[in-house]
Amino acid sequence: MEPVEPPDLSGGGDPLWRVAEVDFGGVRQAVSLACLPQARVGDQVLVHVGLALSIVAEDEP
Amino acid sequence: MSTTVPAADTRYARSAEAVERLAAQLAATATRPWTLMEVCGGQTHAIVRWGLDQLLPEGIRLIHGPGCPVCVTPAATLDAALALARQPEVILCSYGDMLRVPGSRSGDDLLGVRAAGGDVRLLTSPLQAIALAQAHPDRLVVFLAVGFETTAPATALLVRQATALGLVNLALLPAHVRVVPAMEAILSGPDNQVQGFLAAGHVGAVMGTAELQGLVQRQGVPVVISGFEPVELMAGILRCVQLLEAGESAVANAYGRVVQEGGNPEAQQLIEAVFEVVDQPWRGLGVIPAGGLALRPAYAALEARHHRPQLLEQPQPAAAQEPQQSQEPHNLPVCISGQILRGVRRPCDCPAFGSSCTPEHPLGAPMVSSEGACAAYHRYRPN
Ligand code: SF4
Repeated sequence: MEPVEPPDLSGGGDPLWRVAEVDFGGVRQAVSLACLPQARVGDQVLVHVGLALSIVAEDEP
Repeated sequence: MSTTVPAADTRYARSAEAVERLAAQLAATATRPWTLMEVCGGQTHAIVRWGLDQLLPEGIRLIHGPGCPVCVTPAATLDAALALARQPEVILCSYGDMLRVPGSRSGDDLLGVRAAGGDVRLLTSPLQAIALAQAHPDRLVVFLAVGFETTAPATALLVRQATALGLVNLALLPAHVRVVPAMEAILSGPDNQVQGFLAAGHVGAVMGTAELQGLVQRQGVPVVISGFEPVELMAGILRCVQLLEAGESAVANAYGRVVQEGGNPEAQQLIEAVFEVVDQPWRGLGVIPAGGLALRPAYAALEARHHRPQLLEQPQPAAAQEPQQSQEPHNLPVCISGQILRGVRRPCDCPAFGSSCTPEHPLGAPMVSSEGACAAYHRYRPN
């Protein structure tokens, strides 16, 4: 649902500048991955004020 | 402030059937009255919106906590922001909710300054301030940085990025607050009624459970980290009542989908590197020991008062002159936001609610913010 695009490497791999594109129900926005280096394409992530904070597990009803 | 968490299956998370099942389980569990507080304003909105409080068995009461960063930002900080925004060379930016919060003078807000020609802009992320500063090298971009531990990592990242870029025209008016000291202050209050907490899941996503463990050990109350959907909230309430009935004070995580026990170590490191813990005045609540975060001395050059000392004389704009002793530090005598934020009274108990105080003409911050209890009641339960 919220694919994380391959990291933009313009920051030279410095975690300070690591960003990904996140799909918010159809609207894509750049989000910082500074705090979530382990995020991979296809992960669902919790995003707060432009920063990804946690990988969200699938819900099991 | 916007948080986006993908609800993997909203049909389940909002299923009336699942909520009713949990409510029935709750009714079977509770043998006596219990009073719980949901700390976070986002949870308050969900509870009022879905009417969850009305589904609870007799005697189980939810009271609404102070988890609304906009509501607790000191009037002195807003006054500083208003003074800065009036400077022609300043671009003042913050989250949308901050624009309509009055400073210490009634009706004086950032929206009004903007209408009078001030350059006030809305951001959805602190990181947008970088591009703004780069695009306007001849202006001073000031970011009014409010929020709990969920928001602090993004502000810290802004500080690190601005420092790395050597941006000299970017400054912060920081008013970050810490949630656990506020929970502790509520429990220690003379009029405290709280026997158990629902803790905010998003703060948990950053901080994990460690700080809450300390609180539970010191205060002997159960704390359940909960999500924001109806099923998640009802599951959190049920877990908390189970702990209360068993006489157990412990931290339980009812939001494991999002919250890891250790939280987010990178985010914690960012906060730790950029901020130090300080005593902080909370609007309506007075000074809370260790209740806030200030920039470390290494980042003093990013403080707005470093750029405009004449305008911001207070040694600590964020920790400045909030009257501390009075029960109602609000200057507007009619607003009982202090009692609302401590959960002692409800929005409908306020004589101004819905009459002289409305979202269009707010007298206090809890009527402005998307996380404020008064705004929640006005929107979902106006009568
Ligand atoms: S209704 Fe308005 S005046 Fe009353 S407590 Fe809420 S914000 Fe303050």
